[in-house]
Amino acid sequence: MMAEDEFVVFVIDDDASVCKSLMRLLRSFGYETRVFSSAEHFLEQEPFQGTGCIILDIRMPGIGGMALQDELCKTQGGLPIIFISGHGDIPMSVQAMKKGAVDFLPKPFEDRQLLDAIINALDKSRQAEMIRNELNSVRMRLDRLTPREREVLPFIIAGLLNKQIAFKLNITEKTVKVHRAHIMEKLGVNSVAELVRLAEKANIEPSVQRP
Amino acid sequence: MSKTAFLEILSNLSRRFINMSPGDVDSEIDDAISAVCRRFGLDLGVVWQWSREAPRYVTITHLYRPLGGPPVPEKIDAEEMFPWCMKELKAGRAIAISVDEAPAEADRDRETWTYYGIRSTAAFPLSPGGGPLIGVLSFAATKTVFWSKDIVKGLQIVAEIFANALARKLSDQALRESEERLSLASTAAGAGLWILDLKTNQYWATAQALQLFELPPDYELDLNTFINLVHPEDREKVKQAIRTASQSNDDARVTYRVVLADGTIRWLVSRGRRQPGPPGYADRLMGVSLDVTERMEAEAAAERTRTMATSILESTQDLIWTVDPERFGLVTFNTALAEYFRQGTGLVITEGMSPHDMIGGPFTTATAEKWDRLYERVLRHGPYTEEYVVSTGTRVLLLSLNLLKRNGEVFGISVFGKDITAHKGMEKKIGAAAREWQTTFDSIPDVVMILDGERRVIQANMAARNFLNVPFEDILGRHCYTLMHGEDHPPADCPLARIQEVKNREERDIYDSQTEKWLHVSVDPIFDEKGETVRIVYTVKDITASKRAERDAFRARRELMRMERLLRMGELTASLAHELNQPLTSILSNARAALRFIDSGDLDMDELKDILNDIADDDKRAGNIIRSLRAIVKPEDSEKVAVSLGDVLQDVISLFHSEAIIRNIEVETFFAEPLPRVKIDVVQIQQVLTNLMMNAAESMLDETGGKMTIRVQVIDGNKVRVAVSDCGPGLAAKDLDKIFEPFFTTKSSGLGMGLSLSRSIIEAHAGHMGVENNPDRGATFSFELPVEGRYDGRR
Repeated sequence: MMAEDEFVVFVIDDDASVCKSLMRLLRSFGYETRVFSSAEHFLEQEPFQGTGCIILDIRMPGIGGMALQDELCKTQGGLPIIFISGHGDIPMSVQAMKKGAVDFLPKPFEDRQLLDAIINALDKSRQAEMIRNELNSVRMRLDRLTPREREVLPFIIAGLLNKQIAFKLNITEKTVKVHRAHIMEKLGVNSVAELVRLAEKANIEPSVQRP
Repeated sequence: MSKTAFLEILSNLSRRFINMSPGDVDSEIDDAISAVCRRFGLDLGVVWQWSREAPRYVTITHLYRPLGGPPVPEKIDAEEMFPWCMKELKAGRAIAISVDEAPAEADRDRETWTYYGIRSTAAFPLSPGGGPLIGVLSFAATKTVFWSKDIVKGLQIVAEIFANALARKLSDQALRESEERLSLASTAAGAGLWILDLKTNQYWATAQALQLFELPPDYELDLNTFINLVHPEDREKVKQAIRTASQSNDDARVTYRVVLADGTIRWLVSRGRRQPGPPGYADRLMGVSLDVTERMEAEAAAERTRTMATSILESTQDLIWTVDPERFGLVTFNTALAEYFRQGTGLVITEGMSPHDMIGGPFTTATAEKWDRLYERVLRHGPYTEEYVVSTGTRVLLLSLNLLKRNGEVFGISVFGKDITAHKGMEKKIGAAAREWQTTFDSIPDVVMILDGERRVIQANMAARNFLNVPFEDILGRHCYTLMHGEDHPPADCPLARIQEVKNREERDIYDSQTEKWLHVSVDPIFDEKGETVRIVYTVKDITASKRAERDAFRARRELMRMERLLRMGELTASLAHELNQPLTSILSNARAALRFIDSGDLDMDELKDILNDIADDDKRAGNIIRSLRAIVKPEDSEKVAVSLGDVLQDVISLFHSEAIIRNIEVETFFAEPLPRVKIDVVQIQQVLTNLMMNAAESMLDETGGKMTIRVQVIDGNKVRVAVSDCGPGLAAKDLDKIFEPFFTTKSSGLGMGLSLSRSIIEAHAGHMGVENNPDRGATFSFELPVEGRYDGRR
């Protein structure tokens, strides 16, 4: 298994022995690992922006695993979480999975299970990053549009004809045609279909009003 | 010899002898004898007198013998030397003869005369007033003398004068003697003699008499003075006695008191009689007085004694009387006896009544005869005591008959009769009580024996006899250890041995392996007033059944404790599993990591060693958890060991670690440093603490971020207090009292046995458990345990 250089595994557990052994195991996997003895300590760090995952003990003194999950969703989004727990409590695991945990591993677990979970998390993290990157480029392109072009875009992806758009905006059909050409060029798309997909990624809603 | 000359002598004699004092008699007689002899030419003149001591002999009291001759013995046996003369003289006849003329029957007399050379002799009896012969006046001559009638008559008169003079002298002597004797006697008796002249009222009194009034010997006492000396209360009595004596010829006697100058009282008794005075003189009262103070005081004392004796006799319900030893007539008797007859037969008994005088009603002739026999028996065989059933058969008297003796002579019989009817009834009751006791004693199912101070059996009940299976005679007197253990000395752990030290009941449970029975032996000592063990009540109870029940109960309780613990453990399972999963996780991870390093060939030895050490540590950690779990789950064999309380508590707190995390509870501990050692059953005390911590945690279910405080303090250096405080809602006041009761619970689940068991555990450790609400919020449960050994607060 080849480790990704930029991939970081965070371990948060109040049990020092568990932390130490997991760090060792993760090192044998080839992952870069950072260990925290409590959620509080983790939160003291600068938010992590790269790919990686968190191996998180559910029950801890102070801020517990679930509470940390909630907190991270609000602030940092991305990092996938693998929950570990000495208690095989099912209701908690269900709740955790619903909130987007990658996996829930009851202690003690086999290295294979952990590795699968990490790979899984890695994929997820990478995918998330890809999406994040794509979205970033779309946003950068969209930022190049003039306000008038930004105004015209929802009508285009809604499939309206130039004439219709001109009527709606009370401008000439020729002007609309110019705007459409500029938009297609600025956003680097060749067809309306492409444009629709891009807008979708950028969370731009088509104008629902149809003539 | 002329008649006139002789008459002259005679008249001279008569004149001189008339008013002669007795002291001059002897010399006058001597003079008279010599005058007669000289006048009549006689050679011998003698007065012989009978001695009072030896009447056979006569003694010469006066002798005239100018010529000498063979010595005349002072004392002669007149009957032997002059038998004829004596006969004549005793017959009152005078003798005047010459020796030759003496009759034949006077041969012996003649021999005596011849021996003394006497030729003529004359002898005259001296018998004053014609009375008995007191002596003889005799004359003799060595030549023959013609005794003329006139001479003989004259000499006879002389003899009469002599006789009277001698008689007077003798009586005077006798009077003086008797006076002396009287004076001697009166002095010796302390008696004073006195004469009261009834006309002048003047006393003549001896010094002794005056001494009675402490008056000087020359004091002139008169009647008035005397009366004034008499005690005022007795004056009338004395005056009356004097009056009585003055008017009669009888003795008057009066006992009275005189008051002496110094105020002391003297008791006198005076006896006097009237003596008629000579004609023309007043009558006199002559008498004697005697100091009787001592006697009166003695009499008063005796009277008091008599009064007391009488009051004793009268105050008792017992019958007391005396009878004379001849006809058994009553001499004295107390009221109780009189009452006894008055009520019994209606007879009023009086002094002198013999048994036969008392016959009447139930007191029959047979009764009287029976009494005669009782009295005769004491006279014959001496004092005795006998129970006597009275004639009516309704009463029983305990009679005690005694002889009254004076100078070894029996003068009466005393009888003491005690009514023991009630006592006899009591004896019956006592007998019944004794039988009752024996029956009760025998019906006790336990073995009961009564031992003496030497541990010998003196009483054993039926159960004891059955238990020992030995004849009763063989039980009595044997030592208890011989009977119980078959030993000839007490066993080492004998509870009886401790009795002497502790002076109290001793009890012991003993297992008899032969019969497979549990025996409860208890010994109760009974002490005398000196604190010596005189009796020991030895009880053996077969307690096999109750022991078994006790054992079953113990087992049940132990099982209950285990159940309770298991239940607690069930509640703790989740956290315990977590606790166990932690090291397992580490172990597994470490092992897998090592394998991976090996596979990748990327393993250095230091790393491997580190991994293996970690695995070993985690394994130990897991092992510890398992062990503490096992201790809690296994059935306990209660054993108290001295341990450090801190370690014991820390184990529980560690085990609770995960639970606290799950429950989101903070556990804070404040331990006194250092903590003392305690002698405890570790598992049980851990169970108690687990219980308290679980309860505290549960009380804070609804709280967020609850805090539990465990505080351990040492109190007074001999107790250690463990307190678990929560910040839950606390307890309702009504529940504070009931919280330790079995099956009391405020929870929806649980046996409700936790606190009850906890308390019984703590109390079994001689500790104390308590609960109180905190001032701010929550409750505090605590327990105290005694500190083992000395605790000085130092390590």
